[in-house]
Amino acid sequence: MCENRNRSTRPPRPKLISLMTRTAHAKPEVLKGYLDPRIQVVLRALSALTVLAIAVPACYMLIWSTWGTEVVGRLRSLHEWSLDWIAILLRNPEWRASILRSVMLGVGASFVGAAINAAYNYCRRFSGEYVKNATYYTMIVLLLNPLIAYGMAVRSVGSMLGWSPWLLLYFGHLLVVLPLQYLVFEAGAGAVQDDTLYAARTCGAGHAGTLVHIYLPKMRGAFLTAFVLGFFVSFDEVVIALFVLDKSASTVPVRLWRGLSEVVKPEAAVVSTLLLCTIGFIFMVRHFASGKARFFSISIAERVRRQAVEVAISVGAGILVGVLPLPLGSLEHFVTDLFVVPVMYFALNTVRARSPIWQLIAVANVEKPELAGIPQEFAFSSVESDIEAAEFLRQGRWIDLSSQALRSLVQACFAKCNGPYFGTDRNVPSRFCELYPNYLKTQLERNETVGDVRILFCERAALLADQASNEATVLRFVKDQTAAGVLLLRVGDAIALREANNCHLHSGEFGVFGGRYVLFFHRPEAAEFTASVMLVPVTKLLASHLSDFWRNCILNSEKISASDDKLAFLPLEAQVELTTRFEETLRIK
Amino acid sequence: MNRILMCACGIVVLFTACTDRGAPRNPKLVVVSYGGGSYQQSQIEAFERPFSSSHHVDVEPVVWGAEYGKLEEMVESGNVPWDVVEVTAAQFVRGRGSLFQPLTRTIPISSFDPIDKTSAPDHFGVPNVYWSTVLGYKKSAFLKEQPAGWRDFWDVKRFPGPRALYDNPRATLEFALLSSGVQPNRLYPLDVDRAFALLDNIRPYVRLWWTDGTQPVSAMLTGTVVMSPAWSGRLYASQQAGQEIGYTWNGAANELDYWIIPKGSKNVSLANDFIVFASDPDAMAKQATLTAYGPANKLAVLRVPGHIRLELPTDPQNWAVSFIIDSDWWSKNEVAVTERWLRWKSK
Amino acid sequence: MRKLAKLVVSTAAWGLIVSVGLFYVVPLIIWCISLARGSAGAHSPGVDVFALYWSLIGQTITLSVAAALAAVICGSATALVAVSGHGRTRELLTAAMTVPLLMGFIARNYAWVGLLSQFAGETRVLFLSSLSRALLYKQLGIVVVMGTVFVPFCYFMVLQELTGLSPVPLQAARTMGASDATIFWRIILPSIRGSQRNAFMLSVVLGVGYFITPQLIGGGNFQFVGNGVLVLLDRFGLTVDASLLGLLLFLTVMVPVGLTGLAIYLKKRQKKQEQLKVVRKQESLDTAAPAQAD
Repeated sequence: MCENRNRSTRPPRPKLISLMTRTAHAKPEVLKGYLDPRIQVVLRALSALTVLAIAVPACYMLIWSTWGTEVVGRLRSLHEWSLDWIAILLRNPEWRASILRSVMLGVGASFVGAAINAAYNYCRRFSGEYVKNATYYTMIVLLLNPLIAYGMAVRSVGSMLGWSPWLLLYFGHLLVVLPLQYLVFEAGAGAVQDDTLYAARTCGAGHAGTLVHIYLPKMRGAFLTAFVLGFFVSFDEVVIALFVLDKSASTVPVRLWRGLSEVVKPEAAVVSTLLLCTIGFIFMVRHFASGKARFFSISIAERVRRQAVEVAISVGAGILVGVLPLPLGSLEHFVTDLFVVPVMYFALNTVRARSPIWQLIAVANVEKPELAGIPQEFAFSSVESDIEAAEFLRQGRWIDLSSQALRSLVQACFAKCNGPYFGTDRNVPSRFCELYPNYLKTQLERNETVGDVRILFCERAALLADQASNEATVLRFVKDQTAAGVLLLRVGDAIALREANNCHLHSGEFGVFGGRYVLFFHRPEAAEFTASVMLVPVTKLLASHLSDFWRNCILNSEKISASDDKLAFLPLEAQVELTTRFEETLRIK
Repeated sequence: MNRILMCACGIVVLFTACTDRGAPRNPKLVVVSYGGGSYQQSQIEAFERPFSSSHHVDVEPVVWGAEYGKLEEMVESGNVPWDVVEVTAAQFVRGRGSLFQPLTRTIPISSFDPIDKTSAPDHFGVPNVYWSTVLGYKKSAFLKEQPAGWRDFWDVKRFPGPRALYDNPRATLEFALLSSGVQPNRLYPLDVDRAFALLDNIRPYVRLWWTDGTQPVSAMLTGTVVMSPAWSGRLYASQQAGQEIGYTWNGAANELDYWIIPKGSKNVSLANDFIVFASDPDAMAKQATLTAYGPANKLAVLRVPGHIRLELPTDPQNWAVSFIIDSDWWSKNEVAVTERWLRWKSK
Repeated sequence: MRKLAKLVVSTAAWGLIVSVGLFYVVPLIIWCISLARGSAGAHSPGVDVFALYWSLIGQTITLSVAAALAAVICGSATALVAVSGHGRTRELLTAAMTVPLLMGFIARNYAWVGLLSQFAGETRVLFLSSLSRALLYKQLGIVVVMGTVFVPFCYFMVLQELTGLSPVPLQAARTMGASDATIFWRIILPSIRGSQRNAFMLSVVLGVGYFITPQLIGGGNFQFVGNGVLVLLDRFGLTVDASLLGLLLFLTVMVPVGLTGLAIYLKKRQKKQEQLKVVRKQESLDTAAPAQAD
């Protein structure tokens, strides 16, 4: 099997911790080996004490919510674990209303705050330094502002203007989350370089296109972090709510604070448990989604199915919000609907992993493809729908493909590039048929005897053994290929590997389409994919390497025929002719 | 596909905004209790639910902590979402005429016999219950001799251990004076300086200044404190649950709560009906059975079962050894005394 | 069209400041005006707000400073451990520091009340009972709990600084024969002083505005200014007096913050101006030199 030499690194899967703080993936072990052992002991002791002081109450809350009694500080015996307190809380309609209000407030304030910050973070890159400084100092003032005073101010405004307390609370929460989200966006601003945005503008993209197709996808991590952080901060906010709300309606923390005279005490523990479980759930979904969201690797049918699910979830959430008998006025309900449904949609869409380079080129392609140096025939009209074109443009990156997607890609490659196909593959015929059942059909559908050449990298013994054990399949394979004018050759594994390494190729398994594009193949990481591929245009240097590789393989090649004579080494003249043809093909641009 | 999705979202938003999610068929009445938990539950069982079914009204129960300022602001702003509110006697004195709506219906004399002259129905409100703050103690902490009054509370040598006190000068100053031997009928006007001096003595032993009714009970059960004033209803409930807290009625402080209608309420007539309903002896007796707080109506007390009647503040035996907090004095001095209290606490 | 787009974008950049102006500055101004009007009119006598403020502010600042100090020390120690161990250590510590931010503030405070009440009575493990006695409803308890609230902020701020630390000075010091202790006290600690100072200031400012922890953990024994505001407002409806107390608290925090911010801004401007002077001087020398050569 041929190994890759210059395998590009895939983008790392984002972890929630690194989303929560950028520093978790900063330079590792900066001080390792520089700390005095005695000092290290003291630091570790302090650190352990700190973690204990944080972790023990958190664990206690989980225990209290399932082993608690009505008396604060009294647990049931260890045999009496139950979810009673959680059930009592969730069954109480007032609590449910409070939770729903807190969630809606959190979602609304956090989403709008993140949107304002995202817009600012984009716009400030095209503005002067003074805006940045002024905003920085403003945010610091806001962060350090004592909420009691601000709560009183909000209350004063509310009673003067007669505004609904929920509207006042919403604005109050927005102010609370804005500075924190500002810090998150500033920390994550490095995810999209100013140069990328300027390049998009140079290529003809407008601000709207640049914002939607380049900036937002790249900043989705920061946006999600800001949203999650803002949500939890808003959910937890109690000071402003205490001043603004009366006892007839309250958010979760206000209900906790004011409910000190209630009998059911482990409420705080239950709320805490629910919050921790929620963040755990979000973490799992994010982890799962970031790993699986290689959207262009799945088939179109699967993609349609997933989008249908997203639509159903978004619409279902909106209807759920809409029909619940919430004790809110219709204006507030309408406003919260405006936030919840788009947030659901946006959240679902942001988990799709899009190549930023593709976004850049796609945007340029839509408006002025010649500026991006892309041939006219690759220009496409709809950014999202042309999956084949999108794959062409993911240059220099390995992509995992399913069987269906691979077929689509190869079909497109054949369709776009006229000329002979020169390909190598490390699989014996029967294995090839098993892996790519439709591949041959794709190739044969070209209806041309174009003189393609396919080299199979395997040892002679393996090929003969395959022929002996899968006679019908191998015979069929060879006959079909030959009838289509495809020349089948065999080269040993070891030779192929050696030559691929010597020639600095991404992989020894590749297909050259019309001398213009090379599609390199590699074994995929995950079992559900058929192949891992990389599509690159043929440059002068690559042509030289391919030429060297081809020449050395041809020197050692044997022709596979359908007759009983089986294998025979290629005569010298045939070798020369094939090599010349290959090099001539590469010269075609 | 994304356009379809956005259109779907837009349709959902418009749909939910335009649909009427069911206006209430019955008229709504908001009834505010002073204190939640089992106390509010008793009002729901005894008053609100029966009233709701008999008058076809949706009653919304709400809890408040007697934050007078909140009520004042509500009335002054004209935005009053509450219909019936339970206030303390001191607040009743402060607010009658300025914050409270005059009642349109009177309670029939045949159905309301006040416990004493101070608990007669008024033009602006009707008394509901007498609730008591008594001295509670952890039984296991005092096996040989148990505390019998406030003097014992201040006696840290005979009855050692951390204490808790109510974080409110009302009743606490009285307890301090009672501990020094002042007779209940000579408490008012309160000698505030002397009371604070006595509190200085006990302060080092006070571990907790509680603000809600469950705190002292929890604190005694967990052993955080060994003695504390607590509301009699909470202690009664604790005893019923078989818990190890005892209490004495000696020197108990009784306070009266009133039903009032705040000015600006949108359901004055219905609110009046509710107050009349809740002042019925049977209804009041039912509430007393659930909470062991004393109805201000003698006719109701007589309807309470014997074994519970002994636990009521208005039971003659308990009434004889307790005192009533002077709402007139407190209505005039509460602000100044509380400000001094805050400064004293921060020393 | 492009000019219009440019205008829109540069205007939108001010969006954040405009939002703050609308929803923060305006309410504050309205509040101050209504407070001035209320003070001018008659209101209930009997509350000396200034006396109350002076009696409460001392305790407020003392406990906030103590909690902030504890948080900075523990947060710094944890951050130093995080960057001196394996990558897994750092991730675990970061996860631990994130958990309290997700639990809920009241829940966190209440957890301590429940936990310490658990051991308040007779327990077999004596040190837990002593711990409960030492913390529950005591000043030390307030300091500890507020400290745990601030520790995550301190941790992340110090960690940010530490991960930006260059190993070159450390290597150089080692090469020149400095001991590990010297490296720690003379290089590592001074390099994180800035972030420690910022974390300390942030914690103090946040702590001054607290009232929940003193109420729950302090057991009513210790009052912050915020508790006083709530009592005046909720219990007595003395809106004007409560607002005045709140305003005093606001000024206590924002005046030092404002002055510090102004000092930092002026210092940066001065530095920038000095740099500009040096650059201009160099430029003038460069232009003078070729002229002389000619």
